[in-house]
Amino acid sequence: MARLDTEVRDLLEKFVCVRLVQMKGVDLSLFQFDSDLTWCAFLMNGDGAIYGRYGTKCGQGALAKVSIPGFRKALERALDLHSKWPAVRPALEKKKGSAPLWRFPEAIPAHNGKFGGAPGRRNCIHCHNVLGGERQSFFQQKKPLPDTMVWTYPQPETVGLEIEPDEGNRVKVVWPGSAADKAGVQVGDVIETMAGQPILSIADIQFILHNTPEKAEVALEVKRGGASAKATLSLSGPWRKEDISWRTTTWALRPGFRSDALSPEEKRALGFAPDKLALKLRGVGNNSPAKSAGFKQDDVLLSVNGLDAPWTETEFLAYLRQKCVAGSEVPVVLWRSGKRIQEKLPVP
Amino acid sequence: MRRILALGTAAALLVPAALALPSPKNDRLRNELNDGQVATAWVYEDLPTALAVAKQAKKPVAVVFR
Repeated sequence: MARLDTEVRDLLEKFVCVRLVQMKGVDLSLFQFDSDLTWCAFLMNGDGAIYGRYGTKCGQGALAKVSIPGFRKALERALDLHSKWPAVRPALEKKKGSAPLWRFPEAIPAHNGKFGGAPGRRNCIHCHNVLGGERQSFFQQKKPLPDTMVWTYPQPETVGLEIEPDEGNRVKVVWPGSAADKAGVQVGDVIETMAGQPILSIADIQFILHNTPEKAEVALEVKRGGASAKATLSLSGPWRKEDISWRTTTWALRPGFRSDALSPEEKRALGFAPDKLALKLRGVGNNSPAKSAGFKQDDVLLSVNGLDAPWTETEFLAYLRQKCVAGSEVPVVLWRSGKRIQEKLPVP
Repeated sequence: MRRILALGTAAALLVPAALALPSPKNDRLRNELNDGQVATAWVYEDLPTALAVAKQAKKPVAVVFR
């Protein structure tokens, strides 16, 4: 906060600044954001309309997609929208998102009084507790997680866009063959609106993608060399299914251990087929059901429920949380000390 | 003259809003979070007050979760 104060004070002084240090009592019909963030900002009108969001975390590191210049740009764009209030109000309506499953974090069933009483150091609801509690509630109800609760707040790369963090809306790279490429998006394009919503930052793009169904047409308005241009992202299939293993909230999806897919060289050295499953276990939690069931560090998972496609950890976790019931046991084949053994993996 | 009076009235309305920011809770959280060196006037854990101040002052709001 001190760094922000020094480097962004001239802009922040044009805002009324609020710091919320925990999630208890926070209205989730208004404040919807990536639960894995350790820092995020909403830039709003006093009547609750959202101009935009700021804050993005990714697998390349907590600070790879945020920067002071990027935050400055978001603040400037919010001030610009504010100067056009209320004419901009209709374009902001969808920035609030759809109705949440539970309006307040303390009402999430899995929390069940866990965070009762007045907020304090010992009973804070952290940002990650929101998604964690929602997922846990699904597990308790024996319900599979929908895609949007496994792959949350997709990065722009899921549609083939890399955005310059210092700009927040300028296209740095278009991935060949991606939806963005097919739509004709070009390097250097400045994304002014997406799905009709003004774009202040990468977080705004993520919010729109999070709320975009599997099959959809997403309209873009870009500035290209001073002129306006339009493009449409045609999305279908598993576009949102990116790696989630870096996310802190992914721990709650795991059955008590992390796992890494063996490289082709490692598979060859161990005599495993290159196109079959081989996930090496690491960090088996001391108090986890997996540990109690006998799973050990360095075991290699070779099949799950008879399936042996060469999954990544993300694909394994998605299978576990979308196809298996919490509380059940899943038959697996493990490789341990040169031998194949059959075990039952408890799904917590 | 009429314009100056209008501006004066507006300024008088804004002063109570600005004065509404400091509070014992605000000061306590500011100290707990080691935000003593931060000069920008932050409201801590009180969104309704911030929104009301913003509406009155016709300023936008920056809500930071941290």
